[in-house]
Amino acid sequence: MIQLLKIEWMKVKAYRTFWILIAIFTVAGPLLTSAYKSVNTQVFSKLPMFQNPFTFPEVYETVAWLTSFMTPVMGILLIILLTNENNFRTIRQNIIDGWSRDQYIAAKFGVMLVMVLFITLIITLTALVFGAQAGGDPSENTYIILWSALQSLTYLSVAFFLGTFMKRSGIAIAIYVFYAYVGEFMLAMTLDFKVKFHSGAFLPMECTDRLLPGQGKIFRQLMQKATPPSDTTYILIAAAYILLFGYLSWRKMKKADL
Amino acid sequence: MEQQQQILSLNQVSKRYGRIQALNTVSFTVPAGSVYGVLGPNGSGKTTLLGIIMDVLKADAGTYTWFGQTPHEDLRKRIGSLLETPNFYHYYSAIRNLQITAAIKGRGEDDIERVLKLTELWERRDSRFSTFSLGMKQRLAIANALLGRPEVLLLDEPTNGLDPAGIAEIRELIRNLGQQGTTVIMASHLLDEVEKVCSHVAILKKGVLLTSGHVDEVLANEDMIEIGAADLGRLEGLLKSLPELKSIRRHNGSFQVVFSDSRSAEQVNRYCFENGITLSYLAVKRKSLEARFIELTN
Repeated sequence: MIQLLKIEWMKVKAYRTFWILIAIFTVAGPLLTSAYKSVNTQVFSKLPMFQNPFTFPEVYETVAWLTSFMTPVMGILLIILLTNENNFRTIRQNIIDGWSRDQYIAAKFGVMLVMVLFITLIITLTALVFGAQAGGDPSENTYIILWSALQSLTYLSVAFFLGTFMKRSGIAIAIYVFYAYVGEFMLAMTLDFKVKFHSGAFLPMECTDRLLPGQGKIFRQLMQKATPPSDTTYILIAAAYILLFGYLSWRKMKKADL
Repeated sequence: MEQQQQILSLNQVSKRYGRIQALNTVSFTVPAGSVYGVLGPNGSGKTTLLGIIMDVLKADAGTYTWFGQTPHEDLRKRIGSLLETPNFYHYYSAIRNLQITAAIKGRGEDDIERVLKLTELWERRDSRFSTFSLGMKQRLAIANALLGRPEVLLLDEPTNGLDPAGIAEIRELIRNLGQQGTTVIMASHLLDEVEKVCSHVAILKKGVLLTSGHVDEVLANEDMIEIGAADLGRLEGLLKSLPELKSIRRHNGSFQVVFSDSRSAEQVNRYCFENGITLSYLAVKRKSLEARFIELTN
């Protein structure tokens, strides 16, 4: 696996698009957190339910929630890396040159997992920096970091699925961005209010969004009509989607004519 | 006598794209050290065939072996391939692209300079692939195939996009590699190209293997006789009266004639003489690959 990842690293280490998107993500998460902190200090903190989102352990969830708005940037990068291989037909060349299809797929899954680790690292560091300024015990509720890794994995699994099944990066990115920012919200609200409340939780990104609602929980609680599903349910839904998208992508790459 | 080692062996390989039968139970073997031409008109299944044996396309039926073994990715590392189009990371230079290939193959990193010089790309080694001309892209694909001195070269239309000098260089390169013992499998529709370098051929048409084997065997079964006489009209009439006549074609003041039996030039000469025609020209010619190809594929 290390050897596969070394080759994947060779493919991106001098790729300008890769570094631009990594830079955007790295800067955007902490900046958004900082911006939210300013708004919270100036405005929201005057309301009782918005208090202390930056003290430990709350800061973990706050930062995970805020950074998740930026995670689609990494999803876009993953889509570009996957569709590049199709557009340049280098997926074909990698196999011809001596990779098995399983090795190719393993390398790409490896890239996705490294991205999840990177996102999680950024979230953890941001939370530690902001938390240190606000106080509290950093050893409490550290499982939130694992949950945020799960959330990143669901976001990237959707991107992986699109990047595998769509030949054209532009269309795949458009679908992904639309779905991540608007489409799923529309679907979730329709399911919640027109079908059954909380059925929106059964969507691939919404499940972990509800696991880590962050400051959004205040609005979620306001419109709540029934007892929400348990955290375990959210985690199981997320795991099911990750496995489903992973399996479908694996099967496609394993069986398809390249 | 020890049996010659088989580099590649295909057994009843079939592939269908919807209603199109791209390959229909194709079987042949490529002996070690041969320069093997896979011939066929456009759409005959050549690229599909090569795609299947490199595991980028999946056969519907049939099997194949490389080096006498069940296909495996490590066996592909011993083969240098150029399949259909040059496939490289557009945003990377020639050298970076070859480094990736070397890393996947697990060898050849120290061979990059040699193959880039051989294909005359060394001066442009740091230029991005996207800035290359069609011919340069093709040269890079050839350099990629040659990387690490593979035992087998598999080239699909290797001279695509090259200028006449480039075509001659590649032909020379293939011939030299063949002489040095590298097995070369080459798909082409350029018959002249194949005839000049190949020791063996397989001819495909609409996915069906029409013939395969050593060039001499494929071409030898029907020699062509060229004959001329003062009165070509009478000669033609006489020849056409022979039931064994398969084809007759006027060519530069003589006739090119093929008989369905293995009739010798001597027999033809005698027959004409006995019928009152004295030949002014008589020659036996091995049929060109082109003539054989057109005959088989039409």
